[in-house]
Amino acid sequence: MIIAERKPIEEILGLLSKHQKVLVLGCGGCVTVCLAGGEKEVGILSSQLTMARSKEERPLEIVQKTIERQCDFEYFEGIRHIVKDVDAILSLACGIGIQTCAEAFPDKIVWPGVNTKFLGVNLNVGEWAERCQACGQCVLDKTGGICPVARCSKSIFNGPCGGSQDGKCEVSPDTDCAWALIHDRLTRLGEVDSLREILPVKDWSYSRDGGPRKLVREDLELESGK
Amino acid sequence: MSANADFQPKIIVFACENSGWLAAEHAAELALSYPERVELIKLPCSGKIDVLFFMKALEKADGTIVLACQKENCKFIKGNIRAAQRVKQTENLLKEIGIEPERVGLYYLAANMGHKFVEIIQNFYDKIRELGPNPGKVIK
Amino acid sequence: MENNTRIGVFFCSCNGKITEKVDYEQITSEIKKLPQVEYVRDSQNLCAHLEGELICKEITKNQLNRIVVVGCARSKEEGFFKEVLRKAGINPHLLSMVNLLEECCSVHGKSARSAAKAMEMAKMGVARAGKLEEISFGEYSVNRTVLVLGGGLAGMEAALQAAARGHKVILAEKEDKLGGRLARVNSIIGVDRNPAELLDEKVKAVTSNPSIEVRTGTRLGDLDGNIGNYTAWLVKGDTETPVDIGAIVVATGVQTIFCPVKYGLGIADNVIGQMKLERLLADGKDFTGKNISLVIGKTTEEFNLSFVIAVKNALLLRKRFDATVNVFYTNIKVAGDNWEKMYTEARDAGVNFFKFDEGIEITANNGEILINYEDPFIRGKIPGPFTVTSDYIVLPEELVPADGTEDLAKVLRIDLGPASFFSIDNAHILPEMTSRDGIYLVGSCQSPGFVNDIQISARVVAEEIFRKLYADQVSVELTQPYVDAAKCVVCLTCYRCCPHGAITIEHGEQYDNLYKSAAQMNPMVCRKCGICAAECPGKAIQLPDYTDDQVLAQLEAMEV
Repeated sequence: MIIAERKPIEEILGLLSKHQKVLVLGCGGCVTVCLAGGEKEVGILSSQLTMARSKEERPLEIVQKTIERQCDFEYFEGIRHIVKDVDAILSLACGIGIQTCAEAFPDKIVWPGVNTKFLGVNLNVGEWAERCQACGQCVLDKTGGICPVARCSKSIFNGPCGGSQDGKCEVSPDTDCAWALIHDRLTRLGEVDSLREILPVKDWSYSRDGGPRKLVREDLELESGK
Repeated sequence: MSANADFQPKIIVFACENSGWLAAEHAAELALSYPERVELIKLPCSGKIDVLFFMKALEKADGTIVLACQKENCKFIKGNIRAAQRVKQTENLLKEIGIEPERVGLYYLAANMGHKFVEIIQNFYDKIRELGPNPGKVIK
Repeated sequence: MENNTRIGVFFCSCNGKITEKVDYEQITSEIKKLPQVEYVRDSQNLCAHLEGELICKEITKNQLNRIVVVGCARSKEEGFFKEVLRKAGINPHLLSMVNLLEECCSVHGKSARSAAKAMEMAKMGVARAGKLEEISFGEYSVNRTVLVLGGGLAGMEAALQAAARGHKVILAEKEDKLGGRLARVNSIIGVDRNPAELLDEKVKAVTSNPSIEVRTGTRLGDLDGNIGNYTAWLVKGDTETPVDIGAIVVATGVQTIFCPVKYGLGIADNVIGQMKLERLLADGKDFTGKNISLVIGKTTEEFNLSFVIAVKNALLLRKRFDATVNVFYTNIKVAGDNWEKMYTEARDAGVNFFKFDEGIEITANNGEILINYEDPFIRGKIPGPFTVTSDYIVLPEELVPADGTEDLAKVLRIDLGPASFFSIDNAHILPEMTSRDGIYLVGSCQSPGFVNDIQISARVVAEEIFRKLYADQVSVELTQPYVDAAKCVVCLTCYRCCPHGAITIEHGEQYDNLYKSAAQMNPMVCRKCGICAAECPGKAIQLPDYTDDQVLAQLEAMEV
């Protein structure tokens, strides 16, 4: 899941400073699950913004709406009439949703309301951790289901490095050493010997190395050979 | 700070029906008295308080509090703990936009504490009076 | 129904108590103007019986479907008006009560401000009424079988009590026979029975009861579901068998750990624990004319049990064997049924009680025990230490939960309380209840207890189970929060926040969202606190009687 966090309010207030009427647009996907941009957050942020602007004696009118997902164009169709009446949209979706929103409404200013942090897991209410960096070529089969790319501070492949101490990473005592975790898990599974195999240099061309990525599956396209 | 000596703050009190709500009844039985511009809204537990309720309350009032059962004495085990968290959240939201976080509060009391109820209300009222009108009020 | 809301507002002057402060005429004329208000009436004493009938008639005559009562709002009056609504044929939850008497008239003087507040309160009541929703009853099929964990006295007693109320019982004992710890005890406080005989009688009653199935060598491995519909995985040896049950009684008890090191002593024949003493007494060991010292209060301060047992045995040794008995104590906790009397009796019988605070030193020397102690009260006048020589020293054992209590707590998904026993420190619920409905505690597993308490607890639990699972089909008022599936993103926030384990994620075509699933609150488990509703990031959860709409409507109706 994509983990995001609401932007600092001064930043948002700055973005909206010249507007009189905005749409605060929530997303019912990942950002609702990670408590950053669902219907409730939309309500709270709207209230906070109205109060802040009212304090400055420059009232701000806010329209609130939350749609199923902002990473699909079709879901924006239902709010076209609302968008017409506002000066700008403050999108609380992840970076993907914000861009889709901007693409869906080319004539409207779309401001980001959240910072998209990482792809991660929900450890507990109010606690998230990174698990994947979308490198494009999964190696979890070789590393006991623990990702060295996302969870090792150096993303090294034949770890651990010299900075691993008591199972923790030298970067921060709160961070587990991914290679310590990999070792412990493979030991538990009786597969620790598999670590003797040296992992080859990773082919980063599947990752960001080749520029923005695109996935096309011709077998699924509506009109083949397009 | 308040320039206006006649300023009478508006206070909205969310009360857990197991403690604060009953304490208000108890205060009436004891024939105690507190300022008029205080309104109560009943909740089944302080854990039902929503950050949004606080924010909506502050859009028209000068201060808002939630009354919870004594610590470790919530009928639902964790309600007053959750309430404390939400008060903290609201305080942060207010701080962020330059409104005094003291305008929101959480107080613990029991059903048979009518005197304490009045004391809490009076003290909070006086504190808000001192602070002056809520600068963030949307509906004036 | 929504666009056909017809609100009736009934004012009560409470025999003039309200109207002496507030002018109703002014308020009623304002209220009449509000949209949806179809009927307004004021009365002297609305909760009088005849008025109830009159309200009934007016409801029918004016086709009212939301009622506001302005006057007082105590639970007694609320019950009365709910009954009136029921008689008039409308759902009792369509009632909004405004406590004008206690929130305004009793606490404020007569002034323009209090008049304004009264008006505002009436308006808030009407605003809330407009958003009220009906709450119906639902029928649930439940399994009435009770699983009892632990075959000691507590477990057996609970099994018998539940069976007596028509429940089938599965009694699982991890050892290979029933009995538990009481089998090793010599006498019981407050129960004039031989423990062995009492146990024998219970074992016979349990094994001969056709409703009780005893499974020895069995423990609980895993648990799914909720009250009325649990699946318990019972582990015996290497096999795991699922059984369908409706409720669980935990009676896993306590264990004692003998730890003389804490008193600076090693293992020796004349250094004995309280439980060992019980055993020796039951086996008929002769202590005639011996000098015996008992120490209490140095380590096990938390529970009454060790204090009371020490006093009990001191008295017994003194009376039966005419032994010289010394009790060294820092504290005596004997507040309870006849315990104080027992303590006085022990003093009268000639048991010596010696007070110490920290200054005590015990040494075992060639079969002789030397106790050097200092009395904090007379220290100033006659400085110690004093020395007492004894043949035996009796120490209290540490009282800790039975083996596996922590694992069992995880399986049951309940918290451990003080000293790692099962329990939750919460004055609002019975000590037999846990944070999850359908899981109950009897006996020492929640805190080391006494036999007569166990009998009461077993009855309480059996009654509670019967109250909840009174038939195969039970009717439950659906006051639990409901979920708008269209808004639910199954994020699990509510599931993680619920203190009672009432929430499950259900799947099915009826859930109208992307996931075809939604969080659901089990009405038999939910205690209606509303924590989930306040946490929901999608605003999908609403608690009946306290919906966001109802609360926000009240805020909206408020004056600035």
